This record gives sequence, C-alpha cells and structure tokens, in this order.
Amino acid sequence: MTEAPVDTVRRVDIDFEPFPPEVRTILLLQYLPAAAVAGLLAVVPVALVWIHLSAPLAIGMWLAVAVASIAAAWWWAGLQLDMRSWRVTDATVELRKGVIWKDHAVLPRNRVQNVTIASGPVRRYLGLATVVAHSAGASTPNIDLECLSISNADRLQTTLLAAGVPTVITPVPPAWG
Amino acid sequence: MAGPGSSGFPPAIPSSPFGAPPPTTPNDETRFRLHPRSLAAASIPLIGAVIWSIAALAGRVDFDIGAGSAGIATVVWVVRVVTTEVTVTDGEVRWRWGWLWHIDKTIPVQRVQEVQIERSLLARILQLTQVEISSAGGAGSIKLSYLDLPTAERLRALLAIHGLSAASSTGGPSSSGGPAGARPVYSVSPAEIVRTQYASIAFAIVITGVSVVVAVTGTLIALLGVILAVALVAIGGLSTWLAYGPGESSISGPLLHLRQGVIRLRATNTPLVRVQLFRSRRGPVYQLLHYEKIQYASADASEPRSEGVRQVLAPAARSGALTPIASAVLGVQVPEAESLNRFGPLVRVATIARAVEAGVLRLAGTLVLAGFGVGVARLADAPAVKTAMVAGVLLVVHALIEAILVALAALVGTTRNHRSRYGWGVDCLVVRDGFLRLETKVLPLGKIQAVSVQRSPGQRIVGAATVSIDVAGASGKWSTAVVDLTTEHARSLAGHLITAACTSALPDGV
Repeated sequence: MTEAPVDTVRRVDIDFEPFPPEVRTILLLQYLPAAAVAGLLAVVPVALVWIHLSAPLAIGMWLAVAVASIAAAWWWAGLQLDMRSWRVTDATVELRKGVIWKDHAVLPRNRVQNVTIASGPVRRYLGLATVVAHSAGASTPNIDLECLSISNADRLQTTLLAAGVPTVITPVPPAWG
Repeated sequence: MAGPGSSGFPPAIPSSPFGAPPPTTPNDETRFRLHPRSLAAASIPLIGAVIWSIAALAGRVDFDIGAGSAGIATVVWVVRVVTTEVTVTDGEVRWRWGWLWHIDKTIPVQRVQEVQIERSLLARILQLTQVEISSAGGAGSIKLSYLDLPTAERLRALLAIHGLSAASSTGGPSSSGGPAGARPVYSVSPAEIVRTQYASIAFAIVITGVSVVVAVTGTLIALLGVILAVALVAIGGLSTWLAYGPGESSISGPLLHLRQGVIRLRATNTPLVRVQLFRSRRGPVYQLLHYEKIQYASADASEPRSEGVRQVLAPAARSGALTPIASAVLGVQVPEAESLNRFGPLVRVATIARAVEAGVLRLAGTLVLAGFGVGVARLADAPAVKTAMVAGVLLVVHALIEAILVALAALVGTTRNHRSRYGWGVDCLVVRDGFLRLETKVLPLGKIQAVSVQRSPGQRIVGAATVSIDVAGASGKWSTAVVDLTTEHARSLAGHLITAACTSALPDGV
C-alpha cells in the first residue's frame, strides 16, 4: 500500500441530517403496492361476508380494509423517515436507515467512483432529488441518499466530486447507530 | 439528528491546479489490428449456418431462427476482425470496432485489473493468441481475438512502457516455471487433481457396491451402475485436469501470474495491487480430509460473479496453504485463523435467534396462505371442519419443520462458536466462518470500499450485529461479513475498518 501524508487539518464533527418531510409522500407511494396486495387478500373474507351476511356490510368492510391499509402505509412511511438520516464528513458519506432491520453504511469519500443525481416527475414536483454515491464495491449497495432537496443534492454532488480530495484522510470516528 | 446550523456536509474543495499531460498521437507502433487469420474463426458460425440451412431445406427445422442467428454471428465476427483497432497512448488502452454501430472503449492502463493471455485449441491451430484486458466496473474488458504472437508481444511491451509490467510471455503457459526470475507461489500437482475427486470416488464406491449386490441377487443390467460410476469419476477428474492442470502461479515484479489449462491455455497476469481478496473454501469432504480450495479475486469486471476458473490458485491444497500463499502475494504476514479471536459469546444464541426470526416469517406466510385457502374453500362450499383441519395440519407440519431447523441452528451455532474467527494482522483482515462450507477470507485493509453494520430483529433481541465489508468486484459468494458479533464489538470492528480504508491511499479508488 502506498504511504501518503495524513491530512489531519479538516476534521469537522458533523451531525446526522434528517431527510425532508416530503420524503414521506415518496415512501407512501412506494408502499402502495403492498397496501394493494392487502386489499386483494381481503377479497376472500369480503366475499364470504357478502355471501353469508350482507352486501353493504361487505362493501363497508372492504372500504375499511382499504383505508386501514393506506393508513398503515402512511404510518410505516413516517417510521421509515424518522429512522433515516445521513451525513457527509471530511472522510466519509454515511447513511442510517431501517425500522426493523437496522443498517448503517459508511463509504469513505476517497472511494467514491461517481455520483448520480436522479429525479422523476413526482420527486421534481415535490422539489426532491436522489443522490447516489457509487463505490467500486460490488456487494453492499451504494450510498443512496434518496430524496434530498434539489439544492442540497447539487451541493452534495459538487462536494463529493470536487477535485483534490486527499486520498488519505483521518476520519471522524463514525457514530455507529 | 442535525444540530442547529448543520449543513450536512463540509465546504467544497477547490479544483486541482494541475493540467492534463500533452496527448500522444497514435502511430503504427501504438496501433494494433487483429490478425487476418482470425477470420477463420468465423467459419464456425458459418458452418453452423450452412448445416442449419440444409436442415431447413430438408424440412427438419425452421429456417429463420438458427440460420439467421448463425449468419448474423458470422457477419458480426467478420466486421469485428476487419474493423477492430486498438491503440495504446497516454497511458490508455483504446478499443474501437464496428461498422453500422461503433464501439469505442478506453481503459486507463493504471486501472487495468488483469491481462489474460488465452490460447484455445482453435487459436493454437491458427498459431494465434487471444488477449483480454480487464478493468473494474461494468463490462470493462477488451477482448482481442486473435493477435499473432509478435503483435501480442508488442502490445505487452507497450502496456509495460505505459505502466503495466506484464512480464510474462504472451505465448501462453506452454513451458513450466513461469517467467524468468519469478518467485513461485503454488503448483497444482496431479495428486491434487485426484484429491478434488475424492467425493466422487466415495460416491462411485457406494454406487458400485449397490450395483454389485443388485447384480448378484437380481439382474446383471445393474452392473451398468459400475460403468456409470467409473465414468463419473473419470469425467470429473478429466474436466478438472483440463481446467486447472498443470496450474502454476508465481510472482514476478508487480504481477501475480497464473498459468493453467491443458487444451485451452490461460495465462492471467494480475497486478499485485489489484488483488482484492483471498478465499479458501472447505466443503464437508474437504473438512474431513483437511483440504482447501484457494482462490483470489481482483475487481475484474469480465469475471463471472460466481465461480471463475482463472481465480483458482489451488483446487485442493492441504489445509493451511492459504496463509503462506496470501502472505506471499500481499507481501505481509497473514495471521493463522486459529490464532485469531472467536466471534464472541453471542454466536450460538444469535444463530438460533436468526433461525427463529426466519422461521416466524415463514410461518406467518403459511398462516396467511392457510387462512386464504380456508376462505376460498368456504366460498366453494367445502366442508368447514375438513378445510380447517387441513389448514391446521399444514400449520403444525410447518411448525415442526421450523422447530427442527431451529434445533439444527443450535448445532450450527455451537460449531460456529468453536470455529469462527476474525482478526487482523499487518494490513489485512482475516475472517473464518461457516458450517457445511467453512470459508476463510483474507482482505487487504486498504482495499475496503464500504462498511455496514446491520442488525436484524433477532440479532437486536440478543444484542448482536453483523459487519458487512465490501471490496471491489466481490459479491455474492465472495462477499465478506462478520456475523453475530456483540453490537459493541461490531461497532469497534467497523470503526477500525473504516479508519483503515480512509487512511489508505488508492489513487483511483480500486
């Protein structure tokens, strides 16, 4: 391994940053297919009620299931949003996420190969963009900072791709979550 | 979460004041074309097209599918041979070919992961050789089929001038001993090829015994089983020998050379700084007989993600061979796995907890399906008691299977508690884990790309965590994780690894 002088000057302890509240809407849209599956599974008990009891009760029951599914998806999106945070230090890009399965991924900035900003129509409407920091690693996912504000995304890309990033940096120790 | 005034990232770093070096103009010395005899290889799809056409005329097959694809393959091959041009200038390899569609790929020489010289039977008949230059990243390889030997040698020399010291001959592994002045790393002996077949031999002995008993007591046709068993062993041994033997690996200057193959000759040259990972694998038979299969990985994009012949240094080395091989290639003293730390006190209980977690999820799925099935049966006017009983029996059987799996997990956890080890020496991490397939992995700390700490619900209940370590080009079965450490140890290990990654120089990140 090539030895290089260690840059000990730019040590900044930076807190984790929450994602914007609009992300909850994006997450809700992502969970809607699961809510639809729940609604689909409810067809059988609804049909049983329809046949053996009454049609209005069955329709009411199905509507209740639909509303409950969407409410559950909204609640789950909120939980996911609360558990999701990110930060970029002098040395690393970090992402914490997960409600049940917890994950804290850390990518050294000197390993960032390229940075992608993506924004679909819904994200653009909400003023959001996704920044993906790619490493050369193959098994763990890239650091996927989904749904930052567009101004933050642009600044983050500029920061991560700025020329002259030292190849050797003394990191701020990650606060593992 | 963020404090007041926290922006989330530090200020941008100013651009480098250094400019690019002046370009070099390509000339005949730096430009390479495929040899015209490469066109002969087009005869293979052409013959296929002709045979398919004849079969189509005889009404045996559809004309358009086979003949069309074989014909297109012929045309593509001819276009590729005629239009391919490779230039090596300014420390870059540039590959261009195409007629209607143009392919233009450039790989910086400093980012070349591997150079493989391969001579298939066809190439040897044509007195040509195939050169493959691989980089990291998706589809990042240049495959030249075929160059004549002097041209391949000229390409090798030019790559060396531009920084890749490919010291081995381009003529393929036709002679033993490796390049002049090379330090030998490992040689595959015929006895080792036989060792790879011990499982097949054991299976063949069982089949032979059963066949003889059946032949004596019943029909003589059962003796066919003996023939099949012998054929199984012979074919397995032969194919292993053709792929790996006589394999020789050596180090010459900054390169790891691997020469292997009997009919298809391969000479793979990997810059030592590109070696990302070593792995030894021991299946049940290898564990019993104390053998291990030793492989290495670069970030070669063209290598299939599962198994690659070119990565195998030793198909069945005696146990303990990994340490000297990895030490020789990495240039540091790799510690013996036996001397390292155990995973910690939570391995057994965390293994069980993960099994319970998976079992509960599967049971929940079965419960939903059973409830759905009962509902559908009721709609079809099936007897309520009978359908409920069927669903109940299904659930009970599934629960019993899950209970057996949890009991097995206890056995796995106990074994892992005794055998699983992790730790680091000078500049490398060693992880040994597994039950039926015991794996030891050696990673240079400087090659680490990213580190994750993950905690599943089962692990969180018992206070355990997993540290996943990512290196370039290693995914699937090559991925490395230290599973079921205590959360405190996991965080400590992850912090150590990420510090090592941040404080090690990888100018191009790979």
